Amino acid sequence: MLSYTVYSEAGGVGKSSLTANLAAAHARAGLDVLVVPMDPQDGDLSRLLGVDDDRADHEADNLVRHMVGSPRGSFDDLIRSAEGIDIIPEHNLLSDLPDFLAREKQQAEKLGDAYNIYAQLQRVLQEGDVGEKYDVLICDPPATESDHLYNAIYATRNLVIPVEPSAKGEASVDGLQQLATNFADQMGIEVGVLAAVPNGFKGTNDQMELLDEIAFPTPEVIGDRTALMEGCWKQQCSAFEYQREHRDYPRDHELETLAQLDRLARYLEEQRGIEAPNPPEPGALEEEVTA
Amino acid sequence: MTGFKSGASADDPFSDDSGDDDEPETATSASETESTETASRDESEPAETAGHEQSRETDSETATDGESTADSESSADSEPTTASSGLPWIYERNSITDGRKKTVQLHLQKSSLDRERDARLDVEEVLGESVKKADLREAALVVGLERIDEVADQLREWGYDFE
Repeated sequence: MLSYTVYSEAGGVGKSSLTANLAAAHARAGLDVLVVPMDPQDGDLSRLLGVDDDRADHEADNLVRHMVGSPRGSFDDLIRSAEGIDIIPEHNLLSDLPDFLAREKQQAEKLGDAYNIYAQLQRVLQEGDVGEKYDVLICDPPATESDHLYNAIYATRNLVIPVEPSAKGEASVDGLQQLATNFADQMGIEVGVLAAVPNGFKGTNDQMELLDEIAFPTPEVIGDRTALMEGCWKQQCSAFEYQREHRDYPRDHELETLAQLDRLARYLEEQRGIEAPNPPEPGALEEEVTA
Repeated sequence: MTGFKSGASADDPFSDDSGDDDEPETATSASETESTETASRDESEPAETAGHEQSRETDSETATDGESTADSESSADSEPTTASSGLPWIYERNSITDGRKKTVQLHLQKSSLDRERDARLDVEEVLGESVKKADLREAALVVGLERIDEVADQLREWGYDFE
């Protein structure tokens, strides 16, 4: 299985948009995709894909309950679908996740048991047979160093890093590298960086220079697509769906961005030796979502 | 301890059902590690190995399901310059990590990194085609290890054997 966490230390670099669109790109090529967004704030990936209606419902079963061993239902019942993508929607309880995990740990230690607060997402996903049922797992944690992030990295072991092509973006990649190195060392795991994805690229000389400094593979450099991404948020869909359903005529530069997303998805799949059964021509829109 | 690398992790957290709940739980923040000087941009290398040392006491619990890591595991330690198919290595492999089981971390001096960058251009000039950074590095290492006297000289320059 291909599993990765989309993460950047800087906010506003299009992390959730990239996650949703990569998920859509994997799914439209015929792969089974599960997305686990973990943002405690509103304006998150579940909202983007229109599956956020239960996030404030305290009665609703949710991921946090499963992570701390108090589920109200089955794992499969957590899952919603949109555009052929399976999603475990976010819930407001995610903002209390660190407290809940700390309490569980305390409890376990009282009983003399070891408890890894960072391994709980992996446990839930493993118990839910995610490795068997899905080809691709993508986590979208909040853009802060947090239990959410560490659980996501622990469960996926790989990172895809959206980068704002600026000095700030560069600094945030360096910071992330430090953070992930330390975490990997301390947990005794290996964390790989599948790709960095410069996003919102405008092609200035300064930006070009910064691209050269990125120490990770940058298979695609995505241009400034503010209009497209805002449209996606407004219509609550992926860029593919937006282009297909909500654009009166195709914009060439936007179609090129879709092609980039497709190519990026293929690149990531290749890193794990996964071959999509039905990869569309990159950027082609007539392809129906089948997964 | 293991680490962090450019390119896909060899870990597959869903490869077995044992879970990893017994892993030491200590991770907190990024403060102690020295800065990892990683290298220049990787153009199109799929899975370049910039970073980590594979000491795998803990990994046996989590690692390797056959499908996802078969490629990188199969050729193991022996250095495959020519693969089973008879093709030279770079044509036979599917990704830059195939046949590279061991990944080691390189903390480089800035000056070494600059020299690597320059040398890469020179080598590409000689060969008339682009050269993957991981290949350049390993080739330089292999050649360097054949030239022990010169390596020793460099180490003396850094202060070894100083009296």
